[in-house]
This record gives sequence, C-alpha cells and structure tokens, in this order.
Amino acid sequence: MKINPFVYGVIVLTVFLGIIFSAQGLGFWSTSGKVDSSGQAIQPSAADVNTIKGWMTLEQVSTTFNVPVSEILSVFDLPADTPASTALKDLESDTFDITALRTWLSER
Amino acid sequence: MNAQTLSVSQSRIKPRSKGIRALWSHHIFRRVVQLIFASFILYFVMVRVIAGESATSTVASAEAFCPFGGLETLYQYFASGGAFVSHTHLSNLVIAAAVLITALLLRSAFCGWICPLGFIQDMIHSFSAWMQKRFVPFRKFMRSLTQRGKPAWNFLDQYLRLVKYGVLIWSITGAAIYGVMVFRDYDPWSALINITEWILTPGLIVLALTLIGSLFVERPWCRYACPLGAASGLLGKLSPVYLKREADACTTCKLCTKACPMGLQVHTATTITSVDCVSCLECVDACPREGAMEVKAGIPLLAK
Ligand code: SF4
Ligand code: SF4
Repeated sequence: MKINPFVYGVIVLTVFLGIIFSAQGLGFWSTSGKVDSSGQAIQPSAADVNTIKGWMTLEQVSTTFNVPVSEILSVFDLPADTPASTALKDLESDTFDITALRTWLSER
Repeated sequence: MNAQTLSVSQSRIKPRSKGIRALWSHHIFRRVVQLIFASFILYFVMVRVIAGESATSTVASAEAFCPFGGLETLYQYFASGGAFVSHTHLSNLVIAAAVLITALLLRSAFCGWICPLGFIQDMIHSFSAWMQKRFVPFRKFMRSLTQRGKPAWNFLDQYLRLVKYGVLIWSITGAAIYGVMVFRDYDPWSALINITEWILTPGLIVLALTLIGSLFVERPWCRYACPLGAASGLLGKLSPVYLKREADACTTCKLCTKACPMGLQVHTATTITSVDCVSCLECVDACPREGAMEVKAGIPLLAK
C-alpha cells in the first residue's frame, strides 16, 4: 500500500503526540522532581535520607531532620554565613555533597 | 497504470507545483515540524535561564523532554519500583515510549521529523551547501576534501556507523549498573541545553565536533554515535513501513542518493529498510519520476 509523504508526516505526529497526550491524560506525567505526578510538591521525609535531593534547601533539611543549619555548615566546613535558603547542589564542594550529607544524617 | 508495470520510457516526470503552491511541499512541512519541536525545547531552555533554577521553581528542565533519558532510567524505574536516575522524570519515560512505538510502527521517524539535534545538523549542512554555492574558495576547499564526490574519509564510514551501538550498550548498562547517567557527561544534547552553565565537559567537545562536522558530513552524530537513533533504527526493522525503489521506473539519476542526509545508496537499492534511514522521505521528494520511489506499508519483515 502506497503512503503519501504528507500523510506519513501527519501519522507520525498523530502517533507521537497521541501517546504523550494520552499519558498526560492518564496522569502518567511529571517533568520535575519537585512535584509528583499529581502536581503535589515533593518534600524530604525524616524516615528516609534518600528523599533528600540536590534542589532542596538547607532549611528544608534542617526542619525535616531537626538539625540546626549551623551544625550542618560546621560539620561540612561550609561558610557560616551561608543563607538557609541555599540549594544543596549549590554547596557541593570537596567537603560536601548530597551522599555525604545523607550518610551523616543517617548515622546521627 | 500500476507503478510496477511502468518502464523507464513509460514513466512520467512528476508534475512540480509552481508559485505559492510550491511552498506546500513535503520538505517544507517537515522543516516546519522540526522547527516547532526545536522552538519548544528552546523555550524551556530560555525560561530556565531567565527564571533561574531556584529550589522553589518548578519550571521543567529541557532535559525532562529527552527520550534517551527515559531509556537510561528504564531499568532503575522497574528494578526499584518507580525510582528514577537523577535528571529524569516520568516525562522522559513517556517520550521514550513514544519514540520507540513510533519506530515500531513508522521506522525512525522521530529522527527525521522531530529530533531537534537532527534538525540543527540539517541546518548547518544546508548552510554549508549555501556557502559552497556562493563562495568559490569555500567550495574549492570542500571539494579538495572529496575523492570522486565522496569525503576522503569515506572508507571509515561503514565502521564508524557501528560506534552508535557501542554507545547504546554502554549508556544503558552503565545507567543500570551505577544508577547514574554515565552518558550524560558525553552527551552533546545535554551539553547544548545546559550551555549557559559554561562548563567545559566532554559533551561540549562532542557537541563542537558534531556542529563543525555537520559542515562536511550530513548528520554526523546521527550516522555514527547517537544511541537513541541506534535503538530506534533497530526497532524500525520490525515496522510495516518501507521505501520502495521501482527499478523499471527509475532512471538511476542518483538524485535520491544525493538527497539522503544519512548517506545511503538509495539509487541501487530496491527496498530501503536500513537501520540508518531516518524516514525523512527526502529521497521520495527528490525523485523526479512518477512511481520510481515511494513509501509503502506491508507485512513487517516480509512485504518487500
Ligand atoms: S539519530 Fe539521534 S540525534 Fe539524530 S535524529 Fe535520531 S535521535 Fe536525533
Ligand atoms: S533513504 Fe530516504 S528516507 Fe531514508 S534517510 Fe535517506 S533520504 Fe531519508
């Protein structure tokens, strides 16, 4: 069966976008680790250090795990005047990364 | 009269549209589609640059729309019951599924019609062709790099085309074993959408090589190294869609081969089911004879 090139292009778009829009319609879609598929903001959980993500702030970690920001800063040799609103990934250095923070919190 | 029964002398030259109607060609349609998808990604890159990536911002990263991220996180997603390797989300999985299902039904149409990196390479090569027409020294320089119309390094072509399967295996198994995207640092697409971070990564070097290489070879990244193109091309082998060159109606003018961005020898094939074909249909568009080059659908693997 012969297919016209225009029709072929239209079928390609219909199949490709059809799958994406169907998944969105079924709620199987999320473009950010900061919200879940229903659009609810994701928060760290005190029960699981693996829920800590790089985009989370010092303040979020401090509140969830009940540890003062100043303690985190001093343990990891970070400047004492670092704002609590700083994202963890922006603090990554030789002395600090997310894995080290998770390990420290789980051992604490 | 059926195209199958046309002989060269009987086959007609395709009527070409004139004036404004000539603008409504398959080629222009494809370019408009590519441009729309590239603009969509550019929009997210720009919004992210302007809005910044603060902890409270939930603006999607352009990486959330990368289908290959979906393939890399697939193992982790199923093995861990829903976790993702970092930088990937549900959207990556859905778009990966859309690319693979499209390949299964329609061959590697994602590459030819949608992928923004393919489009960028197409544009750079068109620019190179435009420069060669207008600037004689540039044309002479480019001709000096060819032997009998082919790049001097053409003897390596068939071996280099295998590299993409190695990249595919390495990136998928690496992500499965280590739980991180081992390919990300080398990925030119990731380097391009994060270019405003101004960090020198191997991916940035691969990107520069790809962009410069596109002046000399059409779609070098797609031909030689893209793991998504490799996966999509392999699945496309099972598709019911194929290209048919009708030898009786063909004058072997080679216009189809010249038009092929993937460097396939279309004018000598009878059916084109190559894993490297990106289903752009430029060969069909370029063919001047009625019924000599057509897109067809039949029984997968058999109807050839
Ligand atoms: S081969 Fe890769 S880069 Fe080229 S068009 Fe396909 S997905 Fe895009
Ligand atoms: S064979 Fe035809 S459809 Fe396939 S890549 Fe070449 S020009 Fe495009």
